[in-house]
Amino acid sequence: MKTPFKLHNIVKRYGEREVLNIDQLSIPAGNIYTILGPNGSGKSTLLRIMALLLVNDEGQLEVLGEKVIWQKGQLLRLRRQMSMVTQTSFMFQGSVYYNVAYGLRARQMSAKKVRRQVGEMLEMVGMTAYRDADARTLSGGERQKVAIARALAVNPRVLFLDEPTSNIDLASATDIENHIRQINKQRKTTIIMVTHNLFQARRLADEVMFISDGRIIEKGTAEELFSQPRDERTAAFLRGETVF
Amino acid sequence: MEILVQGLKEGFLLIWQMDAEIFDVTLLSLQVSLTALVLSALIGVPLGAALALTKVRGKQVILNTVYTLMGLPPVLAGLLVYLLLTSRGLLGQYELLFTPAAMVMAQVLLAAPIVCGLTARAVLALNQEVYDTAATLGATRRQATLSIMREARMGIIAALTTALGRVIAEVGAVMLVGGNIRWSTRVLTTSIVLETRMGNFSTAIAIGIILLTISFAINLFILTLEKRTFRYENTIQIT
Amino acid sequence: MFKKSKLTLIIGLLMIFMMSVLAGCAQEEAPDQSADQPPAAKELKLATTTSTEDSGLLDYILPEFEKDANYKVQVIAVGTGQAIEMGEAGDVDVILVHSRAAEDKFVEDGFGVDRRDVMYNDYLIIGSTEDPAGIKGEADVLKAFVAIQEKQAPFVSRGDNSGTDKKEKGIWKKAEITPEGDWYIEVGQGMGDTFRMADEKKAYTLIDRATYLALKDNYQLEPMVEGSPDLLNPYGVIPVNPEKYAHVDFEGATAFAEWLTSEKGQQMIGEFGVDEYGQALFVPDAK
Ligand SMILES: Nc1ncnc2c1ncn2[C@@H]1O[C@H](COP(=O)(O)OP(=O)(O)OP(=O)(O)O)[C@@H](O)[C@H]1O
Ligand SMILES: [Mg+2]
Repeated sequence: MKTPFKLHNIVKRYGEREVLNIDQLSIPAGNIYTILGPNGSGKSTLLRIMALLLVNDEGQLEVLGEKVIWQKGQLLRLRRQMSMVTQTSFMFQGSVYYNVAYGLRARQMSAKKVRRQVGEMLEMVGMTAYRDADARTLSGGERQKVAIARALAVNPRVLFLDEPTSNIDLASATDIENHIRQINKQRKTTIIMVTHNLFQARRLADEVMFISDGRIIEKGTAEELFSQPRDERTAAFLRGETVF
Repeated sequence: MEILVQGLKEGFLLIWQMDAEIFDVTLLSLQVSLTALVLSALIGVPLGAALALTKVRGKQVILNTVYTLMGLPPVLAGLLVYLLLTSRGLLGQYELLFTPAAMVMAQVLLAAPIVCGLTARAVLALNQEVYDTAATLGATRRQATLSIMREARMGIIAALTTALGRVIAEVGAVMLVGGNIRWSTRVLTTSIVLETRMGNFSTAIAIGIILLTISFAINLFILTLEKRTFRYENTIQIT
Repeated sequence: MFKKSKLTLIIGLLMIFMMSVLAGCAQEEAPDQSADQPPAAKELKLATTTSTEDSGLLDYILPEFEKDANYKVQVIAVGTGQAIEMGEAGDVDVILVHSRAAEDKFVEDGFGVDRRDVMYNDYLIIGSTEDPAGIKGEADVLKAFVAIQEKQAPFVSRGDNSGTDKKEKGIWKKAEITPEGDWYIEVGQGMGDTFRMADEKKAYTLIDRATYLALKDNYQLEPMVEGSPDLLNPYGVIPVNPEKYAHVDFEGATAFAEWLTSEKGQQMIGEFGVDEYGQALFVPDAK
């Protein structure tokens, strides 16, 4: 399978400020790839560029083997192979069902199939009882679960998770981690995840990247990075010291 | 108080007896204002959304202009349409002056900026995440835009009800371009002016009550329709 | 659901009701202005027709009256109907209007006392030069109206129950015609607007000379019929009856009526407009 993401000299600026500068990054297929870093380091920005939601100012981006030219048809084709759980798990006004069915309906799936798929997804995240609830009245954790169900419903080849379990209790988080692992194994889904939970990163990740001030500080296998961080900044972050 | 009671009595009588003239006037009011509202919605909603969602040069200036036009004095709107339609005007040959069509034109001029401006505001108030979420779930540009409009619908409905309120209660423009011609272009508001000028205060109040009742009924209709279509609406709970 | 919509309905009706009450109260508020005015210049409220105000007559004569009588006149220019209603409600001290029948009824009903003739002006029929009814130069306005009706030539009527409107309706009645149909356009607006619409529609209309002279340069319509006895229009001044409304300034109202009919007032009325239009707009006729 083609390498899902190849980034080369990707720069993103807001006004004068450079918030992202990635010289070289390649994410292998079928991996669970974890991005770590302090607040404001550019993690979400990186995810949004890879998800083709944000145009980079400089550099080359290759997604699923295609050089991204930001052309409408290409964007839709590529985006339809990925999905994302955004950091705030935004919910459309409407029921939980409406939200989970959203991507399926966008793909013109038949009502019957939609119903079955939504049912399965809600079952998976344990939210079946909330099927007809107003999505805006859900608790933070419930919302994340629905967002995960919604993102998985479209059966993506690449799944972005921006702090997907930050509000989720331990038992449910373990559950969801299991699902993530299972999906990664069964469907060979590439999973790119931002997390502040080091244990979670350690449990799930094949590869880990540490980012600060928009730059990659260190990357490698989870094993390496957690046991023998090469950079002092990574080590400090892992020790829980605030050095930035 | 006497005048009020008499006005109420007279109002119910006018409705009860289906007074032919008042019926005619009421119907025309509805026809003109609803036509103007539909046209304004067709122009204003897409335009407002486009202004909010696209990056055109001078967008801020355009938005400011639209916001300013939201306060266009009705008589001025009427005058512009008048000058366009007068026999010496640009569209004089079509002989539209003093017809309901002219009144619709003037009201569209008043209502379209309101619909456009308030729609733009409603869309601008939304978060980037609406689009991001739609796009990552594989929505086409069209589908994502529709989702954005759907999220902004409370604001858009507010825009439409505001616009309707403005046109149905408006008198300066329709008086000027419609001419308040009996059996032809006389509407509720111009009737109120006429009755007041003739000193028939209670009749004027009676017609005013009819006008308010109609506004109330239309708004009730819009709100029920909205409630039926969208069951999920957040009400902020204040304790 | 049902409960909720019922509640909305009740709230809505309440709102309408409250607004109507407010409107009603506003009508009733007794005018009480002179209380803390310095005695130097007392205020006098005059309800009159738009024609006297629009023509500029009031601007011409009032300053002189105010100087002579030490009054400050507040002019409320409305239609004759509304002016009379205001007198009947005791909202003004004196009225200056032109609708003989309504004036007499006003006095008969006890709302006004001591009506005096002040002046008259005259009306004319104007129309486009195409003159579809062929009435140009006709001396008798009744014949002209018959011709207009026969030819179904467009005629714009003020249709606002104003003095001018009543005059016009009276002429149709005298000519034994009930004006009806597409050609008879009732616009329910003031004289200036009616003139403008008649011009736009190339229609005939009945207009008072003052308004015609003031506005004729803006439009194309020309005089068709004038000088017919049925086209004369007498104005009367009537103080509001102090026995009906104790708060009205009867003294001031009487002073105003007396001044208008005095030699000086009459002379000023007679000379008004000569400078500007080359002819007087109003003919003084106080006895
Ligand atoms: N639209 C924007 N305009 C201006 N600055 C922005 C914008 N979006 C993000 N930034 C800035 O870019 C930087 C990176 O933001 P980003 O959201 O990628 O951080 P993050 O690593 O995801 O942080 P967190 O852990 O808090 O989620 C931040 O300093 C942020 O303030
Ligand atoms: Mg973030």
